[in-house]
Amino acid sequence: MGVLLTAENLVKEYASRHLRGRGVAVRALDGVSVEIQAGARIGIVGASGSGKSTLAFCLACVERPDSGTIRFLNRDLTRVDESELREIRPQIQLVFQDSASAFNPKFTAGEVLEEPLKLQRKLNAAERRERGVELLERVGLPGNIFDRQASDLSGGQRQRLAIARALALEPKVLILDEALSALDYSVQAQVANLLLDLSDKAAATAERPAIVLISHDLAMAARISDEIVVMESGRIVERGSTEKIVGDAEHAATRELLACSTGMSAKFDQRPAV
Amino acid sequence: MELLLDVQNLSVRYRPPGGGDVFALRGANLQIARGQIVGVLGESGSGKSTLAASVLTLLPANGVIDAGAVVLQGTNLLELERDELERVRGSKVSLIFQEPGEALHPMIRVGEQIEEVLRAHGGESKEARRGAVRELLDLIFGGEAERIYFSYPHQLSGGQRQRIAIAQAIVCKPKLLIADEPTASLDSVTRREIVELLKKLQRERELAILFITHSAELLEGFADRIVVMYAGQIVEDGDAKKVLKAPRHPYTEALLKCRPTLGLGKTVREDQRIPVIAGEAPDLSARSKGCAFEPRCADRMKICCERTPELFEIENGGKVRCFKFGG
Repeated sequence: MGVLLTAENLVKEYASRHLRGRGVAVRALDGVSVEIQAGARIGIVGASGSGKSTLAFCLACVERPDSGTIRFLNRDLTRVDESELREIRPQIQLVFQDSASAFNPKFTAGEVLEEPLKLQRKLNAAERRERGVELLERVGLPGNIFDRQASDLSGGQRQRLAIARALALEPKVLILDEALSALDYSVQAQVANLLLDLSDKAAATAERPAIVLISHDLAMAARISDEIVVMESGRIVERGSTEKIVGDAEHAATRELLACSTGMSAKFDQRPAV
Repeated sequence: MELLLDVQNLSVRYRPPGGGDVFALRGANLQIARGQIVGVLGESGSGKSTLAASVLTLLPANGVIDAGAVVLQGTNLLELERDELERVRGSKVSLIFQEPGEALHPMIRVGEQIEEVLRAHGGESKEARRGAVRELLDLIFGGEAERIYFSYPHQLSGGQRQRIAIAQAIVCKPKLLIADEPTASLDSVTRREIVELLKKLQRERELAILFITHSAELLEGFADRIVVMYAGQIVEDGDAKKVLKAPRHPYTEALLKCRPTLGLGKTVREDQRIPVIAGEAPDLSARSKGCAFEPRCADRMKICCERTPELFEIENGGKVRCFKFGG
């Protein structure tokens, strides 16, 4: 397995505006480095404001970091221009939490899937339709959904459709930013199983995307990923194999997330008042 | 235990403009005792939010209450006039929602917004109101209370805003707080802090809480009782520990298994997949004569598609809507 995507020492600041007085810079990423192997499954976990979504945006070339480098297929993504980015973006795809706002509400499921293929201008109409039906099958959606309005689908179906669209251009990296968080647990389980199927180790490394799951839910991240990165206040505070993070966590932030995922009986009376 | 709220045989239907009525709540019975925390566990479309909204008759315009009563300390809230109902809302029963930001005015300091609730319910002097708000903020925020009082909503985090919404909801000292997915938009750490705050308020103010959620693990160690809903019906009702440890209804059992737990073996690939509930979510516009969960149930029997099971009492004081336990 070769290294696919390497981020080194990423720094990203956002200006936080106030009604009166000067703006204050918020350092969302403060020297973050990650390495993603081809076909790997990696979970990036942390509480709100830990910088995990900013990291996802930088890796997907949606945001440019203020400093640091992102190497992907021998190119530094922080230095390439817009036209080069257009070539790279199809290979690194992003799926968001809110699938309801991810599609044009007037599109049918089929149009949603054909749109990225149209932009690539490589297939004709019949081939696009064929590929669209293929994609539906790959994410476990029935073919008769093809002509339904995207806005009529259930939450779980929409999130599968979002994953199908992300897969349309055969990306090398699939980044999911809290893509399971808004779903009911029974639906979460189905989508999680889909991610496990897509990244099935039985397939050749070249044929399966690397999965990057951004989440505050450590139990789910542990189920899907082989390695886990824990973030807090813009920094990576712990990383390691899933077994190590779950079984032998060292950092307080990791233990806090672990505690939140394992239920909280008996902890009420031990903790100081909030 | 003194009975506080008694929801009797409540049925609610939505009438969408295009026709095709949706039967969102089908004969729900629910009792809450004083100072008790009852968790309502269910997925999208189970009727849990409809149950919450109908207690205070805050249903959307196309929602119709077909039958039933909501009795709060002897008074049926469904029979009250509008002005009488407004006195109950906020002072005896209040409500918090998923998005606290949307419940707050963006341009008014949050302390004043809490005070506003006291003013709307009349009575006390300005000083007394201010004192009551300060006292409440001390309880909720400790040392930060002063700064929080003078903050605007955008200066606060999601968790802090939800705590402000809670302060607004309880400043008139209601007996019952209905919390409809109050932590769904928060991360897991903040989520737990909110739940701990509610537990503290229950203890110190004898506040009963109806806590609506789709996350079973939030209810562990928090709820006294759990009510599980599926397709507009209560399918299981019992002591929280017993429902979570040994669920009786096949749906509850399947739902709890969907949630991955930590520390499972990851080496064998088959083990890594999460158990799912087979089949589709129920269609609420149809009324089948059998059990609503029957098409997805692993334990189905012949009787399940012939009659709708009632809530059968089981030995430990719980109730289960399943023919495995009676009929």
